[in-house]
Amino acid sequence: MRRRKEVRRPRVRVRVQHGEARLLDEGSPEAEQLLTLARELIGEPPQEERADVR
Amino acid sequence: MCAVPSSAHDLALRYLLELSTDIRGALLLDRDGRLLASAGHLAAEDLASMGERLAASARDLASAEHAAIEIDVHSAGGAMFLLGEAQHVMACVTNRSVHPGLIFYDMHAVLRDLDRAAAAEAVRERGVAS
Repeated sequence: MRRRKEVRRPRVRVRVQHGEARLLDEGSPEAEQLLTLARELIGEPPQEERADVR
Repeated sequence: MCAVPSSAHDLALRYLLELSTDIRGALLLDRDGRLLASAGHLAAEDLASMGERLAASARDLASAEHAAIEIDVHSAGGAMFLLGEAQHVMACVTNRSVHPGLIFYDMHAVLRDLDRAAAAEAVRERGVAS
C-alpha cells in the first residue's frame, strides 16, 4: 500500500478546564520539557541521537 | 492522604489497560506528583522522579491550582497522554496512531471511578466512626 510521505513532527497540545486545546510552540521550554518526559516514558532515544527524524 | 486503598490504584490502572489495548503503560500520581501506582510497560527507570516532573509540568501549565488539564504529546516513537484532575494525575503511553479523544475518555472514566470509590470509602469510614 502506498502511503503519503508525511512529515511527522513532534507536537504538544494542552487543554485547561473546558477551554480550547492549544498547541504549544515548537521549541518552547514547556514543549521541550514535556517532549523529553514523553520520550523517557516511551523509551525513545533523545532527538539528537536520532538520525532518521525528518 | 488518599481515601482509597493502594490496591484500588493498581486495579484502576489495570482496568485502564484493559479498556484500551493501545495503552502500553500508565502511571497514577497524586496531584503533588507522588507515585501511587504504575502498570504495563513504561521505559523510564525512575518512575517516582518521572511522576514528580510530570505533575510539576501539569501544574505549570494549569491556569489555577488543581485546574483540570489534558496534555497530549506526540513524538516519533509514540504518544503520551496526561490528565490532571482535582485529586489525581494520570499519564499513559500509546503508539502514535490513536485517537486522543478516546484515550482521554477512558482516562476520565477511570479517574471518575476512583473518585467514586474514595467517596464510598469516606462514607463507610464515617459509618464505622459513628
